[in-house]
Amino acid sequence: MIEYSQSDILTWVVFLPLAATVLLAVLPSAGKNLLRWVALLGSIAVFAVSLELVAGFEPGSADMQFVVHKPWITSWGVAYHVGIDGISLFLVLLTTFLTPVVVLSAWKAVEKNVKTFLMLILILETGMLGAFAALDMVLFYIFWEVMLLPMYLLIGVWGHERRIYAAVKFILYTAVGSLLMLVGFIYLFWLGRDSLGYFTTNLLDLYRVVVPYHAQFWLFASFALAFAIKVPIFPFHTWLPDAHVEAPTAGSVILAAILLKMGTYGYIRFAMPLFPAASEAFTPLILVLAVIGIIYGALVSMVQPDLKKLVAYSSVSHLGFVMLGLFSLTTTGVTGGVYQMLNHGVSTGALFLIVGVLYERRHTRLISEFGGLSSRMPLFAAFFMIATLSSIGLPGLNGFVGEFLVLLGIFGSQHPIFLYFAASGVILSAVYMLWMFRRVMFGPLENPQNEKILDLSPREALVLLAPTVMMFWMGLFPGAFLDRITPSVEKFIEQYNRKLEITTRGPDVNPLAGRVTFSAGPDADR
Amino acid sequence: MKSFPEIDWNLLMPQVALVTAVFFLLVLAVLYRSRGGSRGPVAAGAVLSLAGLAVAGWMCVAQWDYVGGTFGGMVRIDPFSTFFNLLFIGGAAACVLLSIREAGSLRAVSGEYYALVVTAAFGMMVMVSAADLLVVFIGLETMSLAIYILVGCRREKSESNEGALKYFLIGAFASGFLIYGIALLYGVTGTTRLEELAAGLSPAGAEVSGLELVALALVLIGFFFKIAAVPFHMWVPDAYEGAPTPITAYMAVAVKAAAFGVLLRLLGVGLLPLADYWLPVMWTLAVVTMTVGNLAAVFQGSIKRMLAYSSIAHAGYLLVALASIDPAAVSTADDRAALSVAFYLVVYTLMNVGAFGVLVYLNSSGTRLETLEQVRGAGFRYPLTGAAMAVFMFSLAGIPPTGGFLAKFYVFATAVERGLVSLAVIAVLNSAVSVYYYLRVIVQMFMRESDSALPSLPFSLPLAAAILVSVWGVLQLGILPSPLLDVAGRAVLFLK
Repeated sequence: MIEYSQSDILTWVVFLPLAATVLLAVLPSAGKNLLRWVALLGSIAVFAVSLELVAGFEPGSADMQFVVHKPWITSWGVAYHVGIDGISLFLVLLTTFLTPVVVLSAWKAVEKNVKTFLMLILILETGMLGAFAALDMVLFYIFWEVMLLPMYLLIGVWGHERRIYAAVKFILYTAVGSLLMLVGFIYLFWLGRDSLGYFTTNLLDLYRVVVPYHAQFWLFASFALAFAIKVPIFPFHTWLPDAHVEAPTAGSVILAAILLKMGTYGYIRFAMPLFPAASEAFTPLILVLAVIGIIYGALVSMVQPDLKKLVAYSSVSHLGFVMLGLFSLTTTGVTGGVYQMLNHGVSTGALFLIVGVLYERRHTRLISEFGGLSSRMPLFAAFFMIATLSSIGLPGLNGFVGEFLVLLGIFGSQHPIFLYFAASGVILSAVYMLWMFRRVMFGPLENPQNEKILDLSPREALVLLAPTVMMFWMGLFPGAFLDRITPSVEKFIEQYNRKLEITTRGPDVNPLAGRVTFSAGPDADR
Repeated sequence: MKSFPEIDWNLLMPQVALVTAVFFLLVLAVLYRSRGGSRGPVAAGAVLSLAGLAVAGWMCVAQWDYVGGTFGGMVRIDPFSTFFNLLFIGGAAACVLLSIREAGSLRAVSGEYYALVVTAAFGMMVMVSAADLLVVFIGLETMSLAIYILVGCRREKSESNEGALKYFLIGAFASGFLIYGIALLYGVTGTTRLEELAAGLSPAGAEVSGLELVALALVLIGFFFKIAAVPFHMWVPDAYEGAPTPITAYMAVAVKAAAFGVLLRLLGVGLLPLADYWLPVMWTLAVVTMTVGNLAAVFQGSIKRMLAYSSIAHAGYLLVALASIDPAAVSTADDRAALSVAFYLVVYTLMNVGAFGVLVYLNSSGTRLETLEQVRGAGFRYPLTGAAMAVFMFSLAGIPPTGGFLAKFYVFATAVERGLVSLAVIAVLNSAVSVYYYLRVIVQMFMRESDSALPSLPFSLPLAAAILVSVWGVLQLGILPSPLLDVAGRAVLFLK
């Protein structure tokens, strides 16, 4: 086996939130402020420790870093195997960065069962961090599902009127997808056993398994479906507006900013490098769906009367860009896609926080209820404007860098035609976002209920300041990020192409054939 | 020639311990009957039966590595039977812990209650320790008769009587099928010994006589009744609902485990030459059982009835493992089908004991909290109980990091290895359906408000112990399953 450099920082980052959860569990549930402070300081501590990862990360290297490999379920070759490369590094940071923001944003909004709420947020953080860091399929799957439960409860317990419908829809959609992925993974596991000669669920080992083409087809389909539901790619997006609208602000932020990235991350980490030949075959389909998502999401956003739904549908549109970038399979495009994941996390996260601020004041999210708010809330208006522009992709802010790289990448790819459609999505996004902004913030202040509306409190300003700083930073100095992302992306593309060459429709042999089978059911002819 | 085979009693010490406990329990019942009315007999009976089970368990652990036969080879003690014996002892102990509050309210049978629970455990131990079909039958009947009575022990309740009668009648039919099948097998092969049976049947691949197939069918039907495979499951909802909840838990876990333990041995040893015939049967029944169990569970309003149907669904997942048995790998280190069944049964025992334990606890105040509507808001009213129930529901649904996930993972992995991808896909789709109804319990407990104030529940140490151990076990097996996998892996080496 490969000798890994031992460093436990990553393990600390992943499990520190869980430690904070345990601490919360033993505290009395009556002292709500104490609980909030503990959760806040705990998540800030996680963020502080995760900065160690940036500090210790070797910029030029494409390899996995901070790797820990410990045997776990030895009889099945399952190991506790974590590590990060340039792609996952910033997703981990995004998670640790947004969690304190979310905890702070829910300071006043959540009064019911505060203790459980905060515990769930922190468990969710462990789940997300673990999923980004996992380099073992079983470990990944466990963290992937661990994420699901807290989010389900967050929506179902602290959500709005139709919360139960939304929560059940969310978990059923995701569960169907992930269970099918599980079967795909198990199949891959046996293929890996046959091809490598030993049991392993180590992702880096499984990368080396050359999967026969027709098996790749089904395996890719099973993985891609699970991730497509999560992204969500049109037409698997219908759970998203419900979940977003019904979730409490904190839930929406995490859902949009991080959980959706789990889907796109799944493509770049699992579905594409494991099954490049099938991925190649599916590329046109996915690009078409991505473009439909971009335009459809934008058009539907335009007509939403509900602010939160508008932002939710804009996510469908933005995630289409990410998919476009990933499947352009050019270094520029994929890097742009990864960068766009981070951008979307920051800017859409901020937009949901902003909607949350309005909702806390007025208990409505209908655009028609607002108008002319900028005169009453100047500070809020500034933050809102910046987040809106970032989401549109104004140069100088983060969104521009990602979108530009994606468009550049897709132009240089084998499918430049999609550029035209995608570019129209950019224009549409400007239309619906600015129009929404105008209706909410400008114009005459007609609704008397908005007369007494208060501007941001210092706490809320702090909450919004954090992502705003990131928008400028990522927009003005993308180099620090791209330097670390690019080598890993290059390695991803190189591996992808090499494996594609080996597999391309070679002898159509199913390694599972030739073993003892019996005549039972439709498998008999296999 | 010896007129009577020599008996190695040392081998049978766990069983002897249980029978001794049963005798004491019966004497206790008689002694206390004359006084009547106090809580004394219940507590004493519980302590006595737990002590008997503990001694038997300790003896099982002590003979873990021992392999040997006695009664002229009709009984066989090896790690496989010891593994299952420990599982039954655990199930019986859990049943006793769950019963302590409830048994006191059972008029007229309170003394015999524990004696019957322990007798049933003894019957199960005889079943899996059998190397001969007749011994299997004796064990099965010992177990079943005790359980029939226990199901009907709430004598004043009509649903209890109804459940017991249905269970008894159908069980009697099942026994009839089984004994007739055994007779036919004897007719074909001239033996009832499992190992000799395999030699007497037509070898794999050869022409099979109709008589063999009829015998096979009859024996399997007998067991399908016991494991509640569809379409032999009609008795389950009524019997499960009519029985006192601890007994329901006992039936769901230990009785099912015993039947699966025997089935593994029967299929893996005695009926192995007929694998080409029973594997497709298992495939079909697995699909039907999972689907019917899960779909029916969706429509249940009573949590107990939902768990009854869910136990049918779980029997379906276990049948997936039986359908994935590789005839060439039986009783070797590659026998992943048997391993996954053994692992699954342990996890399944823990999560069902826990779920039923929570039900018992919720109903311990006199206010009925049985249906989905009645438990509204219970999650935040009783936070620890609610959290435990959440763990059990997630585990039953197969969501990590609980044992339920790994148990299903191993079963599905076994199926895929054998090329049964479509069966695995059907199984995971069924799992997705099950997510809906298990999580509905969570929805009701945590996401809805109660219409009326929920009563405060009296703390009960035995219940708390049973629930806590189950929570710990479910999480332990979900996070660090290796020790149990090693133990189960050793157990299945001795199937033959």
